[in-house]
Amino acid sequence: MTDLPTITWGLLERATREAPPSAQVAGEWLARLQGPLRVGVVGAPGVGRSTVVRALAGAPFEVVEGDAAVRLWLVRRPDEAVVADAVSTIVVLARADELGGGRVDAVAAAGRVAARHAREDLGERCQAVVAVAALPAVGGLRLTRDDANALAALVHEPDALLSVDRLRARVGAALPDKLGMFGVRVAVELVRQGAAVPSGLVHHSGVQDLLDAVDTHFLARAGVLRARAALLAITPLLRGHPLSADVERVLASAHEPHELRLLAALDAGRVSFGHRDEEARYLLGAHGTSPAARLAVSGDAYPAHLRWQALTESPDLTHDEQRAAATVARSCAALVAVGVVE
Amino acid sequence: MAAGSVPATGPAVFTYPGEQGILKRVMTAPPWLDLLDDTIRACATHERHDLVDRLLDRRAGLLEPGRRVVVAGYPGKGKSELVNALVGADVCPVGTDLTTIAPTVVRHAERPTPLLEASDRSAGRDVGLPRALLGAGLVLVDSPGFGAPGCPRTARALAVLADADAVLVVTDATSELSALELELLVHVSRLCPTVLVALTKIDLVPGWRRVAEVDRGRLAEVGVVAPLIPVSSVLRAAAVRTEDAELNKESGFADLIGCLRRDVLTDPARVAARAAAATSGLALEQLITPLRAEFDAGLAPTDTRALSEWQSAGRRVERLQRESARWQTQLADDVGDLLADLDFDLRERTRRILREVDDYFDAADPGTVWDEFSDWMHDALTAVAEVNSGWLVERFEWIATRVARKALPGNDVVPGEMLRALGGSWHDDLRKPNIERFSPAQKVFVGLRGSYSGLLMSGLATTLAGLPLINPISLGAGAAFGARSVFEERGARLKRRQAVAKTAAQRHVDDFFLRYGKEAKDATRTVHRALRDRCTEVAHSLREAAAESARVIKTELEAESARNTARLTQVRRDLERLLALRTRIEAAR
Repeated sequence: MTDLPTITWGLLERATREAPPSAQVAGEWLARLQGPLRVGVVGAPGVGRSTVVRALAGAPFEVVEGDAAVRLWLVRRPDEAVVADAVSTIVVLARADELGGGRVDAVAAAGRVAARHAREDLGERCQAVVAVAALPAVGGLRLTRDDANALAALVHEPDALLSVDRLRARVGAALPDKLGMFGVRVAVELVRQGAAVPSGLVHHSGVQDLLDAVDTHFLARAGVLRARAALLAITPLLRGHPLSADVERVLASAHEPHELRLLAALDAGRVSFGHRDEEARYLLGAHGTSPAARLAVSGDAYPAHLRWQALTESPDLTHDEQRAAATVARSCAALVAVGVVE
Repeated sequence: MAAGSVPATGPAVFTYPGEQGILKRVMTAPPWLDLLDDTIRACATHERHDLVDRLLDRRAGLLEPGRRVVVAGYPGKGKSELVNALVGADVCPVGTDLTTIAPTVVRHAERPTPLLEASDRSAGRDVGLPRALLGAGLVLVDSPGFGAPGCPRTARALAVLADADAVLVVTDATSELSALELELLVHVSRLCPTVLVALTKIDLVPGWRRVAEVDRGRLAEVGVVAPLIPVSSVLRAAAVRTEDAELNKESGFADLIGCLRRDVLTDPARVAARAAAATSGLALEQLITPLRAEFDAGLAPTDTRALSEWQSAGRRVERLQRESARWQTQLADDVGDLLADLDFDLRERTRRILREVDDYFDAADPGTVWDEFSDWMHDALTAVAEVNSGWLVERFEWIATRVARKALPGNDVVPGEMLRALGGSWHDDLRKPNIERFSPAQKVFVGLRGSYSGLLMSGLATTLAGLPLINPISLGAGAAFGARSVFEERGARLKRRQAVAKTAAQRHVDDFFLRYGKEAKDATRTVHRALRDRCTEVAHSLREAAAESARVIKTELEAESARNTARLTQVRRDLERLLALRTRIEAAR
């Protein structure tokens, strides 16, 4: 099947040649189609954008503060309105430690809140909802020997962990500023258990969950997302140009974004086909987008297409599930057209 | 108690030994009650029953002994946790996400009511606890967090606020007061002037002192007078658990309770008075605003439309009067012209006939052609009469149209109608293609036609009868005198006969001219008078109608103006009364 990135490549090249107003932007996007994926971090002031950017340093993608091809939308509370392009957005409950009052299990609790919202309305407006307390993850990597000693001493002084004022009185301002109350509490707990502090902090901060989400929802299909972002970026510049009709047609008919939305819905549990969920994930390209990878579970493409086509009219499924089955069936149809079976 | 010191003016004070204080507080009518009742009466007078109901509820709430402190704020700020920490018991459900859906009311009770079960979160709850703070007359209300404007959660939160005697707004140290929170604070302080702000989660945020300073500055900026107390519910809970006084002090709850005692419990009557004043003030504002708008509108000139109608009616009467003089002159002029033209036309046509007669009888012998001639003359004069009278009628139509347009301007009276009234079946006859072309003013012209045709019938036949000149016998006699003489004789005789015939024709035509002319003029005058009378009549009735409508509009205007003045006076009186009440309320704050 002719995939979105290939088509987009052609369209962008045509745009640089034929449509001068969009030539520069199209050129930039052409160059960017090959580089690492740019992930933008956006959110209200004070929500902790720069901390999240620092926490994601070293990840296999480029992180920028501000909007990019795909974005992490930082909010303090799940009910803060998010208006965004769903397929390219992950909502992050930043400062998740505050949501749970800075208790040791605060981020885990916030993670449960995030999962619940992903199943509900918020999930309709983004690919995933993740709870993150970025500060401890960043601070954990910058701990000094003095900090380690202080943490070890704090194991025997639970009263000092009651409030930030007490903590500062006991160990000075550096450690609480570096880790936050939640971070210090988790670090002391890790010391008590004899576990490695920095990696434990990253684990408890939810940063790993965020990396996993970016991996699943963005990196796995980076080509599609980049192509889509490029087309969306040149659309306003092409107004009135004959090329704009082509771009609009490609954007409207591209099937990959629907696949990504359905995968997100399956992950969040908003849609389910019961025991067929795994096959659906394969067919939708969750485990690789080559025809062989998509058909790894299903076998031959044509019978799979017939099976999923039948599900679109199955009385056992709800209307939403029937529509989701239609999306899978369309992926199958494309595989039938390619005709590659190993 | 301050209320106790107010001299009892109202109802009897029932005193029992030992219970004097409480009873005095309950039974003595506090001064704010008068204001509230006056406001309720004002609302009833202005038929704002919605306000009356709200104020009556409020009145009942304020008369209850406890003072309700509503804990309000945006979700996730730690309102429920603060209430729990304040009373040292888990009376309100606390969670990571939106938890509080319905308000929880915590009041004093000798024996605690059973604490919450996880299942009944949605219903509002009343909890009783034996606590000194509550026993001193404090009722705590945990309210649901505010949401987007207009959503049901916000509506529920506002409904809880409506009954507040004092409000404890909760914000947290993780961020400075947002624009939305400041908006809420301004709204709350208008609704209920006794406001406290608690800054929670200070155990969590290193920079809480800076946040507290910024928040105090913002409160001052928006003009909300409220103490801001930094607290930590977590520390307080731990302090209560371990009975650690030091920790309790660190939690900030000692300050918070101190503030509550100072601002709410020391002088509950004053808290109630301020709440009552705020509620009354808001209700009064709702009465005053429309009244003031009405008053301001009343100062503008009254109904301009009616006024302009009246003016245009007056102008119409004047114009009709002017037109009346003008069209009468015009009609007279037109008819004068018509008569002159008529006369000239008739004269012209008859003269042409006479010239033809002269030419004819220069050659022809009247003796032989007289009958023929007589017929010709008849036809010619008939044609003259018809053409002339037809022309007369056309001219009259034209005049009538012109006059009607002038006399009845823009009016529904069509000139044709008027002429029909004058002459009978106007249209039918107009279209009838026969000789009776002078149909429009038919009735008038019928007589005319009769007269001239009668003249023509009897005309020439008798005029020449018995004239010897044309006697054929004499012709025969002449033949006896020899051919030559006869021929000469015949020549001379012929000349004479011709002259006589010419004279006879001349006289006949003169007769026709005179009689037809007279008839035509008479007809013209008749039509003229009829037309004039009819137009005068119509114009007069039009003028009468216009004058009448002007009179009616004038009367209405005067009545309207009188009504307006009366209403304005009433509005001014009401406004003055309400403003006086508002001044009293302001003073009570």
